[in-house]
Amino acid sequence: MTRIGVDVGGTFTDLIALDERTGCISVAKGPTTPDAPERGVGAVLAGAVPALALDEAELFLHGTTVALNAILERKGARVALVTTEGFRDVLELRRGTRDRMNDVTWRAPAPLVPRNLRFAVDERIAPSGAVITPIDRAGLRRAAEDVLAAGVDAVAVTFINAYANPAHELLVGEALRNAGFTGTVTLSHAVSGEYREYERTSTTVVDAYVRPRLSRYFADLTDELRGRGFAGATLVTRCGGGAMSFAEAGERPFETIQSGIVAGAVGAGALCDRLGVPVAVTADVGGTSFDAALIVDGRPRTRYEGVVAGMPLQTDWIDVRSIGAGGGSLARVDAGGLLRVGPASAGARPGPVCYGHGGTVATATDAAAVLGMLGRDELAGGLVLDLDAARDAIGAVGERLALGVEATARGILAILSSNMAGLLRQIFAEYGQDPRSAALVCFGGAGPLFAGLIARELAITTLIVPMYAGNFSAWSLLDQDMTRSASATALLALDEDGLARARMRLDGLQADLRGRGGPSPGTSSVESALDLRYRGQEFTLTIPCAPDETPAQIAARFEAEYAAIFATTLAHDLEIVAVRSALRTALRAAMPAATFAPDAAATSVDAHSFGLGHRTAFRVVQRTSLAPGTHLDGPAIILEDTATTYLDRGHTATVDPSGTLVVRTGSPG
Amino acid sequence: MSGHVVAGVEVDPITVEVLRNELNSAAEQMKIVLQRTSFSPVIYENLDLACALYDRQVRLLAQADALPIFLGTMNACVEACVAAAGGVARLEPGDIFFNSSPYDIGSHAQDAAVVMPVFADGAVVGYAAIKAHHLDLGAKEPYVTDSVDLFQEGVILPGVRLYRRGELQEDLHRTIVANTRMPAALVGDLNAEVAAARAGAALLAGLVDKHGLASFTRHVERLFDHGEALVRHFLRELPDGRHAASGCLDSDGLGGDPVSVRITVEIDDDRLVVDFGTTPQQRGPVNCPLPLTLSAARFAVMAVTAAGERVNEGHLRALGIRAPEGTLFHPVSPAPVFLCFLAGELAIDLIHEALADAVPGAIPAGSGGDLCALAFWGEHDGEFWTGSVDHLTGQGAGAAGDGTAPLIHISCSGGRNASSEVLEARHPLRVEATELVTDSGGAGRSRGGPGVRARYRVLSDTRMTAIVERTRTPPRGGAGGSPGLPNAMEVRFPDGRREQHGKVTDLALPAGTVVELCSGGGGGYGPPAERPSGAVHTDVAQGYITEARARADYPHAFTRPIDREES
Repeated sequence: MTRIGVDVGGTFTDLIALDERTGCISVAKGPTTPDAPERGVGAVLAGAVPALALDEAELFLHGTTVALNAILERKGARVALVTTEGFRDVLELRRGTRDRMNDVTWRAPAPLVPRNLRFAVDERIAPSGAVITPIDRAGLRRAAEDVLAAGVDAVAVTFINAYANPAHELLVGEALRNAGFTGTVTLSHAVSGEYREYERTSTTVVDAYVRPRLSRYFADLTDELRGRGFAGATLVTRCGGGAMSFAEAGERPFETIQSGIVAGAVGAGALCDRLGVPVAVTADVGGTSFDAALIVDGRPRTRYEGVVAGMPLQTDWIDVRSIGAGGGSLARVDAGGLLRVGPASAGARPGPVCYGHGGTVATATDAAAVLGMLGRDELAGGLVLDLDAARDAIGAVGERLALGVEATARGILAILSSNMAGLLRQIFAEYGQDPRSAALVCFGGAGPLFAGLIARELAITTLIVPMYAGNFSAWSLLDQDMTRSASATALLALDEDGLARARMRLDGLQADLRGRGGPSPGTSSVESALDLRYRGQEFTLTIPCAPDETPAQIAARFEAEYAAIFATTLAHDLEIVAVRSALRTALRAAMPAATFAPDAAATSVDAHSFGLGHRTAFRVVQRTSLAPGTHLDGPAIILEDTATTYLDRGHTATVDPSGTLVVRTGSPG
Repeated sequence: MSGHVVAGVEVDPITVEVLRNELNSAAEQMKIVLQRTSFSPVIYENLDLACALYDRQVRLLAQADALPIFLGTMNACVEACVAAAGGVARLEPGDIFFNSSPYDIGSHAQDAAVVMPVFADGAVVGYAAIKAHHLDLGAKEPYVTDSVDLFQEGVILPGVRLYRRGELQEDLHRTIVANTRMPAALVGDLNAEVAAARAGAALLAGLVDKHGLASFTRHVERLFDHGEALVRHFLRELPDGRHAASGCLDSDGLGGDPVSVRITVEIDDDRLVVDFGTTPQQRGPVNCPLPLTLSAARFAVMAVTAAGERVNEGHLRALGIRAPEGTLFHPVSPAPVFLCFLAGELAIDLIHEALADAVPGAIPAGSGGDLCALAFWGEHDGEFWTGSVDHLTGQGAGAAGDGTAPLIHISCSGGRNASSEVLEARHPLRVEATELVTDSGGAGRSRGGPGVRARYRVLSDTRMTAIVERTRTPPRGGAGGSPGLPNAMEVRFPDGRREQHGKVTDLALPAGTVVELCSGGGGGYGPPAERPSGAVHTDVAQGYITEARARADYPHAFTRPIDREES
């Protein structure tokens, strides 16, 4: 069985294919073709997988930024919004927050649906689901005609309290079809069963906005794959983790937002699960951004509200945080005379000075190159590093600080890693975890290069460097389960009666999930959870629940978790706020044993050791030469095609059977 | 820039930047601990809190992004606690102070401060300070709009030890808890503040230990110099001069005439002084204690001069204030202060208006200027309930373009408005509308953003306290633009009576009463005659303004055929 993972990023399209019978792995990379990403996918496939294998391949797993880009570039559908009379402006009003809290000039971005395409219909439903005002049939017909006249591609429908009773939203769907509307229609209750009208409206509108574009893309990509002989199943990753079929994604396109970035976090979770690491944090470092997610018991932490370009999405959302810090981060001296690094980046072009593509401002990668941390002066693909130019650029920064080239380079990396550590501290604090007992899973082109420095800041003593670290997001596509999820607001007491009613709602959600159709290979496991709170408090905790549990058992688990956060419990009754259900179908690949080849000739390089505080000789080792079971003591620099691992003095790497490097940094600091 | 020398010792610029990151990160972690562990939504959702770290001289090391109007008061909270203890020498490791004295902390007693000294090797090296809004702390009503002295407004605990050498002072704790209508919330939130103060103290002690006290101290001095240099550099670029702005509060809270305020900003080379004028101290609770006056000036000026940087003591050095004793902005105890934030909001807006002259293009036109807070309570199905809503107000247009979506007033930036569906699910209220108010934004080359109409129907007998300010003065236009509509509230009783209110306490609303609040629109920016015709017609098509209003404000758009390209 061959499975193929293709991750389409902003600059590159990465492919990894695994033949599970032979354990043979193919890796390829090509340029992304933004106007028609399926062509870039086709080109990479053509180069990497022989036609025969493609015929026999059974799974194509995909990470895509098509939906995200449609929103970031405002190139989605022309959407109309139908709402309850009196609530025409919910989308524009938002919640009144500013992206930059203290900025009096900050202005909210324009809503995805302009005001003249928002149509209100007289109707009203109570939070109980009771109809207070029956829908105005004549008004509904008028709205349908207005929508038709507006010439939109897609319609979003959000009525107040529709989470409690979808009847009126369903009538709008009918009226639009009867009026002859042929575009796509998204009804808010189908997108989210939870209350909060702005968040549900935002999610519904985002769905409508990306739906036509994404449906076309999935159709085109399917044609591309079929045209090349691929006859297997096609899956795409979800923002809540796991993957769904293209067919399902066509029905729930908003779930593909942040598809690629999530795959790496889920893959890191699967890796931690295999290694028996209970708590870890990811450090996915590319050229521009640093992405991090906390992993507990093999799963990245999930929230139930995401955000894209300032717009909330009411859906499961793997909690990956980003800041502008990476190999391309630019160094500068500010007006007050301090050295600052990032968030501005040299990006892929012009890139770092040492790449010789026209960059003139020192970057973090230039600092690493000057300090010898890259271990070589020629990168994969034959790019020869221009170290003299990098030294000059760093020297120019150092001059303004009265520091030498080496000290400035060390300073740039110290500041970069303190920025990254700041983000990780925040994540650990929010989830109440202690970084000192966590491992750092580092990937992305620059992750294994800087991980040792980040770990020092946080007194983390274990680093995990997966195979194919530079392509790990694509690799992780092969390591997803199939998942589906749904939720509903249900305000109920946590007692026998309330729990029985919550279970009925859960059964309803599961029936909906199973009814979505499409391929669901193997048997599925059901995951149910309740959002619970003390009556009178707003704060909720999501507590998993098994079918046979009593209210007392569930309450006990809530109280244990509550006590872990608040160091106290209350005498109040518990209340159910929402029910959550997920279906999970195991799909993870059997990970092959790593293959290795002895090194031709070990070399060494003079590089800076942060542990020693001065330069010393580092062994330069090819990653492919590290057989499982090998112990490698730093100082050493480990090279592979897409990443460089910097192993400081005092650090020891052990190679596990899958080829993963597990690095112990010895005593912290 | 070579050889920064502080006290004769060379300082490393890399360490300064790393330390700056570490201190800011520590302040943010305090906030996370407070948010995670607090009981009340006003703290964890509306960010009605402040967290800051100070050095041993009570100079600001770092503060978390939190309620802007609180931030500049925190040093006063620390200083008052140290003074109450009898000086630094009397502080002991593990001590935690509680201070609800409004003239010490610069806000009403409900915003009590929690302060913990930080020790290293037996000596004080700094302080962690927290402030958060408690729902009730012994005031005559949970929220007071008509007090005439301090003693009606809450229990005054003037910098007392809640913990002594790490031991909870149980007598005091019982006293605090005995003075609230909502003991569970108070206990929960107090625990959260203590946890956050301890977290901040441990983080600061950790940084002192990591860098060594001598190095820490030297690098902090350089950090302050850096902040100071940035702000002074900004001010030096501005022309010297005095810029005044005037406005008024609707009343002192007891009814009667508007309270006029005149604020002057003086720029002299690289210094800036805010003169708060001579409006006398008021009989009602709108007086603004001096720490809050200073905080308003700090926030308003830093929002313009600090270029989005995280502020430390250095940034504040170039700023001075003038507020004579016995005035609205420097009242004398026991003058009532419960609604001091209204004066603080107004001060921020007026400082910005004054700075608009000094820094052309940096300041948008005026906004609705208030939180427009309504609190409802009553009994329903035999249970007591209470719910409150803040409102977004229209935003002024500026050099960058039209005012867009309405926002929470900048003094409470970080808060959010309530969800109608959540309100309805929890309380016997029906939200009949929450929508933009057509024609509420001021005309201009750039149009002011619209305000919000929110209409609530009470489904059972309910009582309401409203704190709606700035109903008598419209949001100002900028650079020749027109003003927007001011805030307005109308109560429609089931018997057909209609009443207009601003600030009102404990108003009875029989079931079926409708409360309609229309928050103000933002001011316009630039002369209306310069607005492109296409933009005017787009506004009409979008329903932001009516055609009648468009014809009145922008006659030029109707005297020639519409320029198709512009639209």
